[in-house]
Amino acid sequence: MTKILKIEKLSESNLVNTAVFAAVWGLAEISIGTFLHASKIPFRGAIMSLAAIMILVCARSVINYKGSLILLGIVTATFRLFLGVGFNITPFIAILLESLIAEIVLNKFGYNRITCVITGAAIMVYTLLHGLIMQAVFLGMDIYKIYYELVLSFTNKIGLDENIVIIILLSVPFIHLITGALSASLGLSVGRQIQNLMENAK
Amino acid sequence: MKYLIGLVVLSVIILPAELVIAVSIIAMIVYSQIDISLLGLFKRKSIYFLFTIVVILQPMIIGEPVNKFLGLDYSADAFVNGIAMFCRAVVIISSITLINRSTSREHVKAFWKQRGLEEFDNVLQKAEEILPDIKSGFNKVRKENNSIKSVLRNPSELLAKMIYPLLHKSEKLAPNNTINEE
Repeated sequence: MTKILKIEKLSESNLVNTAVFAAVWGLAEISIGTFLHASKIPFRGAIMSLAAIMILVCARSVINYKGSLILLGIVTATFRLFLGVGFNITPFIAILLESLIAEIVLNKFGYNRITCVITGAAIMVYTLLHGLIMQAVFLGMDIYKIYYELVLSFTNKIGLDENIVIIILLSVPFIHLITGALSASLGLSVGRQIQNLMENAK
Repeated sequence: MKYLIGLVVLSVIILPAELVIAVSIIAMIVYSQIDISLLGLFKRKSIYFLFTIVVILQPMIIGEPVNKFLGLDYSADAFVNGIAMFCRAVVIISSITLINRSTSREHVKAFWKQRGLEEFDNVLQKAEEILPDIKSGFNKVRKENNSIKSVLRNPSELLAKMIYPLLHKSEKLAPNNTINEE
């Protein structure tokens, strides 16, 4: 059997702290995720990703063993799979890939505000692509053509200028990147505050 | 069984539109014999929204509108393609739901353990144990800071206060750019 990640024995503190962040993320997924699922508001995945970015970046300040964020993601994804409402496989994949992105960026380039902001932005880029990829898997590549034609016929009907349509469409990834960066920055601040509290308690 | 479901999913992804419709009908009949509740998918409003877009609207905006129905021009090719897209989505969702329902927590634990995550089970168990403490701890901090003004004043401090009491205190802190190899 292929060993994708070897994490054999964790110290008591690493085990507890990984479990704490997994429980926090799992709680967010189940409570906010359920609310968003019921409300049917657009960009539900992006909202959940912002919470994920904050938790992943914050967790990295406390749990720093190799593969920690992947293990955190796997435990949270399992929570989501068994306790979440609705169709859980797409959030399951999203959680795993978000934690993988955070693990790669933060372990490769270090843990500071710039790398955290890059992590947040990278996760939000993935979130944007996630919906498009999943729709292509479920419906086929033709779905992009349908969306394009629908947008085109709608904008033609209401007489919207092509440039305005392009600006509106480009603003979506831009907002994703900015909010991802802000969420990562907040996560880093929370992580630093936790580190300060731990230092003061010593 | 799971390999057969995998084969069905793969078939509906790669087969041409006409064959996808036939395979999907057979697959859904078999699936409904295994678990009739899978047909509950058709009670969801979102499935009819999808149907409207890919089966009704698509033939009117995509392809050559050489056919006519109730005075509306549409493309027969796009209509067949739309039905195939709808069938593909229904079969993939049903297949994944069926696999999901037949997968127990024990299967998932064994799966990750086989892939090198020896501690997965312990972390999951611990996370489940502390979930009620997290809920009550968060509620306590939220009640103490119930005004939006106090939340916005320093959100990072507030979030840190929520998480910090739950953490194991002897943990070495993460310095910049280092990994504590286990």
